[in-house]
Amino acid sequence: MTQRRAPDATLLITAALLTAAGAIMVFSASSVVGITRYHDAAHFFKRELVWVALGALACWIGVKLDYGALRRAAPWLLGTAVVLLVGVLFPHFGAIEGGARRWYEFGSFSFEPSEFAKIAIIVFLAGLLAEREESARDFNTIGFPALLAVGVLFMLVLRQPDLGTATLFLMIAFVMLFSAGARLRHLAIGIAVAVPALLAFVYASPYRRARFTAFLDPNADPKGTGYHILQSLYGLGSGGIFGVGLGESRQKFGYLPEQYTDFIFSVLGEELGFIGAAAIIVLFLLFTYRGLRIAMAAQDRFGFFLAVGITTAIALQAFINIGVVTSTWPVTGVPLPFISYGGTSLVMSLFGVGILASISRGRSRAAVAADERIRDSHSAHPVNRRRHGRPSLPRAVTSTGALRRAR
Amino acid sequence: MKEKERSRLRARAILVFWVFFVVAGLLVARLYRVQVRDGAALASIAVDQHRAEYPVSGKRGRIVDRFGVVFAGTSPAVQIFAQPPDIENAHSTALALAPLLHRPAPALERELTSHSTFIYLDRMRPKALGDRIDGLGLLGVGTSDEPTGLRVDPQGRIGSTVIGFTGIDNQGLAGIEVAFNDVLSGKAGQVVEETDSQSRPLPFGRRVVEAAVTGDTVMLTLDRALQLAAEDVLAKTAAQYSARSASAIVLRADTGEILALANWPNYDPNRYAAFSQDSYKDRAIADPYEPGSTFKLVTATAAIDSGRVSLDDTFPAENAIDIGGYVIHNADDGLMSSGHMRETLSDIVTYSHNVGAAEVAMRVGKRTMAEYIRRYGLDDVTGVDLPGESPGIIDPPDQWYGSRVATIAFGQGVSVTALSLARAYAAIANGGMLMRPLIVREIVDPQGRVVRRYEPQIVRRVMHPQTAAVLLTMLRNVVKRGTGTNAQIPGYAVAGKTGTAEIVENGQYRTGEYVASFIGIVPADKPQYVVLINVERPRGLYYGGLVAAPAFRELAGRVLWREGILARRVATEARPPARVNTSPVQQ
Repeated sequence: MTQRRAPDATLLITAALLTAAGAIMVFSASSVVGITRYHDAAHFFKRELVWVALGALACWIGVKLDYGALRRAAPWLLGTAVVLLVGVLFPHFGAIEGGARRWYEFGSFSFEPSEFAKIAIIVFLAGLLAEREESARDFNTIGFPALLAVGVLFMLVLRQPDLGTATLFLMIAFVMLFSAGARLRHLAIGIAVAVPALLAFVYASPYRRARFTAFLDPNADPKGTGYHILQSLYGLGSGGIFGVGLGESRQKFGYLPEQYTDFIFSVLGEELGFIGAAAIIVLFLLFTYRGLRIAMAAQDRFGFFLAVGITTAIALQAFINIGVVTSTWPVTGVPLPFISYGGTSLVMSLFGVGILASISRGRSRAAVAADERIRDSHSAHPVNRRRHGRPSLPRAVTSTGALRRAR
Repeated sequence: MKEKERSRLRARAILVFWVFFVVAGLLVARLYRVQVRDGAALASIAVDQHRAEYPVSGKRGRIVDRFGVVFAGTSPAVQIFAQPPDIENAHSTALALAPLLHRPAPALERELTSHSTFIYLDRMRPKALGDRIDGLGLLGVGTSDEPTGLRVDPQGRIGSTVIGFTGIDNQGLAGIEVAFNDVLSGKAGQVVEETDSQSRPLPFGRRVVEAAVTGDTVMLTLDRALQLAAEDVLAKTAAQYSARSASAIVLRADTGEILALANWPNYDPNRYAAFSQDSYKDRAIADPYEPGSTFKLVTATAAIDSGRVSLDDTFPAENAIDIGGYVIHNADDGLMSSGHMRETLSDIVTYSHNVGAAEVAMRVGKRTMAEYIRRYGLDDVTGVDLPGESPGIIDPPDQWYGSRVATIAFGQGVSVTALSLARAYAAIANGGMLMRPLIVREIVDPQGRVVRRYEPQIVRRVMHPQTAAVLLTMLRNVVKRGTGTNAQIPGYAVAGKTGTAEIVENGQYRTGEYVASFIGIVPADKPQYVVLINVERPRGLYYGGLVAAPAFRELAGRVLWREGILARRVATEARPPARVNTSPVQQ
C-alpha cells in the first residue's frame, strides 16, 4: 500500500456535528453570564469559535500525521505532560479557579495541562502495549511501567485537585489494558484496590463526601450540596420531550451553575428536550462505534491501542458527564467533549479525532518500513540488558531515561 | 499482526463497544425517566422557582389647594441597588458612587463586598441621579424605578401641619395624607414575571401586569396664598413675643370652608424626620385650651337669644364679686370700667368685664348656658375631615357646682379647640347658622373628573338671625372702642373679641402663662370671613388685645385684599390707631 486511504467520513461528520451543536449550545448557555459579566452575550461564543478553529487545525494536523510518528514521540509527550502538570501546581504559573489549580492563563485564554496529559498517556500506553502480542499479560515488563506512568499522572492531577480527570486516567488505562489482554485476575485486583481507595479518598474530604451524599439524596440540602444536581434535573424536566426551544432555557439564568461548562448538557436537554438530548447520546455512541471500528481495522497493534485509547477517553468522558448531569452517578467535574465550553478540551478532542482519522487512513509502506528498521536496531537490547544483570528492564524505562535527559 | 491475534483484539474491542452501548442505553433510559416520566413534576418546581409575584402600589394622588396649586405630589424616583457577586472592583465602584450617594466610600465598599446577592444602596432618589449612576456603567450596580415614585411637598413648611406626610412605603402618616390615604393611594396592581436567580426580570421573559390605578387628587379648601399669609403672620408674632406656639384660622362664614389653617411651629414634610414630633401637630384642632374672654360671646348669645337679658338691662359694675366664697376679678387691662355705676351686656362684652359676664350668666342659668354651648357645638368635635380632632372638654351642667357657671361665663373651666370657637364666630357672621367646617372641596380622579364634591353643610341654627345681628354690633363695639381697638383696619368694618386666658396645666392655673387670642369677623358690615389668632405663652405683653389683635389685623387685611373686598374711602373709626397697611402681601 503506497497511498493512504481516505479518512473515515462518518467519524469526522459525527465529530463535526457534535462540535457544531456544542458551539451553538455554548452561545445559548453562556449568553447570560456573558451579558452580566462582560456586557456581551457572545463573549464566550466568540472565544469558543476561536477554539473551534484551533481544534479544526489540530484535527487536520492529526489527519495528515503518520500516527506512527507519535510512537517515537511518546516519551517526549509524557515528559512534557509531567513537566506541565508539576508546573501548574506552582502559584507563579497555575491559575486558581474554584479552589483548584488546573490552568495556565494567557490573557483571556487558558490551557489545561491535564487535557494534554490525557493524549500523552494514551500514546504512551499504546506504544507500550504494542510491544508484542498479548503484552498486558506480562506484568513485569508491560503492566508495571504502565501502572507507574499512569500512577504518576494520576497523583499529579489529584494534587490540583481534580479527582474526576484523575479517575478518568485510571479508567482509560483499565480499558486499554483490558483490550491488550490483561489477565482478569490482575484487573480484578486493580479494581479491588482502586475502588475502596477512591471511596476512602472521597470520604476523607468533607466536600467530596457531601457531593457524594448529595447524589444519594439531593433534596436533603437543596440549597447547598444538592443544589447543582437538583437544578440540573429541573432543567432537564422542563425540557420534556421536545424542549422549550433553542435559546429559551430559564435555568441558565443563574439557577444552574456551570451552565456552559460541566452542566451544559442540562441546558441542552432543557432547550432541545429528550429528543435532542438522546440524539447527542446516540451521536456519542456512533462516534464510539466508528472509533472502535477504526481500531479493529488498524494495520498494527499501536494503531489499535491508540484508537481504543482515544475512543475510550472521549466516550468515557461523555458518558460520565451525562451520567452526572442526569444524576445517574455522583458529581465529578468532567467536561462534555466537543460540547462544553473549554478550549484545551475541545482542541485535544479534535486532535484525537484527527489521529483516529489518520489511523483509519492506514500507513504508507515507507513509514512502516522505517519503523521496521528502528525495531531491528533495538533487537540487540535484551542481550545487552542481560549482560548488565538487569534482564527484565523494559523499554519504557529506557524511554524514561530519554525523558530525564530531555528535562 | 497474525490473524489469530487480530481476532482476539477485535473481540475485546467489540466487548468494549457493547459495554458503552449498555451504558448509553442506561443513560437514555435515565434521560427518559427524568425528562418524560418525571418531566412535568420537575418542570412545575422549576416554574415556581422562576416565578416572582409582587404587588405594585398605584401612584399616589396629589393634594392641591382650591386653585390647583400643588401641596403634595409624586415625582419619578429610582432605587439604587448592588449585586455584590457581579461587582468587578468594589474599591473603584465605591469611589465612583460615594459622591453621588453622599456617603463615605469605605462604608460603601464594605457593603459592596458583603456576602448578600442583592442590597439596596439607596431608595426614593430623583430619577436624574439614577440616570447619572446608570451612565457610569458599573458592573453589579443598577437602578430601577420606584413603583410608587417619590412624594414631594413643593410648598415645604407652608400648610405642613394640615397636609401631613407619608412614610417610605407611601402610606399617609399625618394630616390629609392619613385622613385621605385610601383616596390618595389608588389601587395596587400586580406583576407576575419570570426572574433569574437574583430576582431580576428575564429579558423577553413572560410578564403579566395587572396595572395599578393612580390615586385621586384631593383638592383642599385652603388658599395657598392665605395659608402663606397666616404662616407668615404667626411666625413673626411668635418670634416677636417668644411664644411657645401659635395658631391661625381663616374661615369662610357662609360655607364653612377653611381658607387657611396654620400652626407654629411647623415642619418640612420633605424631611419630616429632621423635626420634632411636636411640630407635626395641628394644634388648632388637636389641642383644646381654656379660651377666656372670647367665650363671653356664648354667654351673650345665651342671654339675648333666650330672652333672659334685654339690651337695656343693666348690671352693677363691680371690680370684684364674691360668689359662694369664690371672688371673681376683672382683668387689669386698663379698660376696666365704663365709668358708670351700672353697665349693659354690650358694655360687658365691649370692655370684657368678667364680673359683669358672671352676673349675666347667673341670671341666664346653667341649663340655658349649657344649651347654647351645645348648640354652638363647642362640647363636641366639629367633624372636619382631619385626623386627631379633639372635642371640647365641658362638664355636663349637673356637675357645675358653686361658682362654676359664673366662671364659664368668661371662658374659665371649659376647654375648646380653636377651630370650634372660630366656627362659633362664623355662625354669628352667618346669621345664626352653624356650618360644618370644610377642609376638602373636591376629590378628582386622574382623568380630571370630579368624583366627589363637598357641599356646604348646615349643622343647625344656633340663634335667631336678630340675635346674630345684635351680637355682631357688640363685637364691632369691641373693636371700635373696647379691648380690640388694635384690630381696626382702616377702611373696613371689623368685629371681634379679645381673649386672655391663663393656661391650665394638670388642673392648675399657671400664673403668668397665657393664651392671647383674637377672633374677628370681616368685613363686619357684610360679614364673610372669620379670622382667629391664638398665641400661646407670649413673653412680655400677653393681653389678647395687644398681642393677638395686631396679628389679626395684618392677617385679616391680607384676607380682604386677597378676596378683593374694597375698603371704604373714609375711615370713621373712633380711635384710628395703627398706620395704614398699604401692601399687606409683602413683608
